[in-house]
This record gives sequence, structure tokens and C-alpha cells, in this order.
Amino acid sequence: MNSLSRNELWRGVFIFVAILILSVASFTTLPIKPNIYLVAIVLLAFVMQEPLLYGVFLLGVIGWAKYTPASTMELLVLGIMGVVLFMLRKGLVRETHIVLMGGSVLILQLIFWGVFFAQGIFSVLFFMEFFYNILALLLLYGVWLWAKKIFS
Amino acid sequence: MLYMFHTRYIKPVLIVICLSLGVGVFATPLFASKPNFLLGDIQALFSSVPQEQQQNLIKQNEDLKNVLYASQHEITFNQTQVISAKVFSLYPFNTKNRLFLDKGLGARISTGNAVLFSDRVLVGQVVTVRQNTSEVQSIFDGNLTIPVRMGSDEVNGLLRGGVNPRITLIDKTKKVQIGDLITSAAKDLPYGLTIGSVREVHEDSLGAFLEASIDTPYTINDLRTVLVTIL
Repeated sequence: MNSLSRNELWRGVFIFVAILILSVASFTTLPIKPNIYLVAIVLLAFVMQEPLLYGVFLLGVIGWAKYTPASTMELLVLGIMGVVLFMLRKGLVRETHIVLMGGSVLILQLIFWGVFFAQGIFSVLFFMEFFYNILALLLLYGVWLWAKKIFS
Repeated sequence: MLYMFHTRYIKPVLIVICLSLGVGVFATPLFASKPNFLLGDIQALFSSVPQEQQQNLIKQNEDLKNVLYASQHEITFNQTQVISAKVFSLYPFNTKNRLFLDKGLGARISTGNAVLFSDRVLVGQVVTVRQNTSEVQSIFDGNLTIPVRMGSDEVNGLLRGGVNPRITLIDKTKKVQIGDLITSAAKDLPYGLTIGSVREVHEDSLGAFLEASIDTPYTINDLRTVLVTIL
């Protein structure tokens, strides 16, 4: 592992902590909450270069998202989407771009809702979640840029 | 020397971390119970009554309202046994609205059991049961529908779950008022359990029926202990 990946590891830890903090922040005043885990998976897929490191952080996020003693289909779907997105990004995209990340959030959200609540895709709920997801993505991306400055 | 050690072994270490995380996530019953901080704590700071005491008062008040309603409408509750269960987590996504309880088959809970906020206020229905846990579909779940009755005239309606649950298919000729008590009338639930009260009444999008929005006496995120009926 060269110094580049070493810095990537620290940036990853930094962003992972930010994800954990954001995920436990209470959203009780909002009827709809952002899907922080999906946003985290997209962001990490775009900013991580080392597949193994991505694997560790992806599993870390999914592990943190686990909400019952049994593993659930939702977490499995999130994991599969994360792996596929990372592979596609590695193969097709050279530069990290916020618009691409936003597009990926939309596609992954469509797939997630399509699998678990297809009748809700055209509801206000879906669009509100997307709006909050984009806000969360911008926030986390800002944290990432800050981490990049610190660990460069 | 130490640097050499790190660079040489870091990949195998990452693989081991990956594998153990994978096993931890998908093959063990371990999970992190997440704290719910910020707003709850801030609200507690400004409240003179402790949160638990406040919730107990709300429960008692709702139960009394229901007892009064039941006596006025000659509703008698069947002798059902209830057990108390802790809510250990909530479904974290918007696609469903579920609660996860710390009791399951071992505590004689079965699918279809009613889950209550207090003795007479309905929260939802058990949909999946495992040995020591169970999953509850709350009235805020988009897939839930329950026949209900409203007010002193016992007007029929259909509760449709969702982020903002509402009563649909209310006959336009019937009189429904703001504040009317909404009670369950489903064949697989105890009759007459309180669901909430009417907040607002308006025509539906087609203008064929009336629709009502609901006020519930609890916030789903604040539920810590619930009661489960055992038939």
C-alpha cells in the first residue's frame, strides 16, 4: 500500500465517522428522512480508489445500518448496489463529479424503491427523500474535500 | 522496519477485516443499537415534566377517552392477555414503517397480534415473528389498511397507512367532526381500539368521498415500550 492509499485510508476513516454522526442525528421533526446509507455508499464508490478499502468501508456502513439481529434483504441490496456501482465507476469514470454522484443517488434510490416499495416511486415521499439525499450528499462531499485537504 | 511491516501486511489485514465484517453483518445476530440524540435531548431540556412521566400521562388520558367511548357505544373488550415488549429499533428507510420488538415466538407472540401504545391505543400489527424478535407494521406504513369507525355516529372509513395516515372512503352524507375518536373495526384486531382523532376533513381528489387526516397520541420515534395482545 503506497502513501496515496495510506492517505485514502485516513480520508475514508474521516468520512466514515462523519457518516456515523449524520446517521444517528435525530430526524424526528422530518416526516421523511434521508437515506444516509445509500448516499454514503455512492460517495465512497466515487472517492475511493482501492477496491479493498472500499470493501471495508462498504461493509462498515452496512454493518452500522443493520437494524435487526437477522440480516435483511434491504442490506443485501444496498451491498450489491454498492459493489456494482464501484465496479462501473472504476471501469467508466475517471474523474469524481458531483453531478455523476447525484445521478447515481437517483438511480440507486429508484432501484431501492423499485424493489421494496414500487408503488411509492411517483409519490411526494420519493422526491422528498431524493431532495434530502442530495443535501446529505453535498454535506458529506464537503467533508470529503476537507479530509482531502487535511490528508494530502 | 515498522513501516515495512505495515506496507507488507496491510492488504491481508484488509482482507481479514473485510471477511470478518462480512461475517459480522450477514451471519451473526450482532448489530449496533443506535442512539437518537440531538432533538430528544433538546426537548427534554425545555420540559418541566420528565419524558417518561409525560408519556404515561398521555397513555392514561387516551385510555380514559377510549373507556368513555366504549361505554357510550356498548363496546366490551374480550379478555385478551397483553405482554410488554421493548422497541429495540425502527426500520431506517422510508419505504416501510416498521418497529422491531425484543420478544417473539418465545413470548407467545404470533403474526397478526395487535401492538398497543397503551391498553387501548393501537400502534400496529405483528407481521413477522422470530424466536426472540418480532416485526410490527405500524399505522404509518404505506402498505397498511384497516377498516375503522369514527365519532359518536360510528361512521365507516378505511385507514390508509403512510407518513401521514388518513381515513378514506368516508360517505359524504355522514357527519365527521374534528376531534372525533377513530377506532379499529378490523376482523383480526380487537374491536374498538383507539387509532387517533380526526384532525381535518376534506373531499378526496375525485370528490366522491370524504377524507380525514389523523392526530395520533404518540410519535413513532419516541416509542420505547409497547404492549402486544396474545390471543
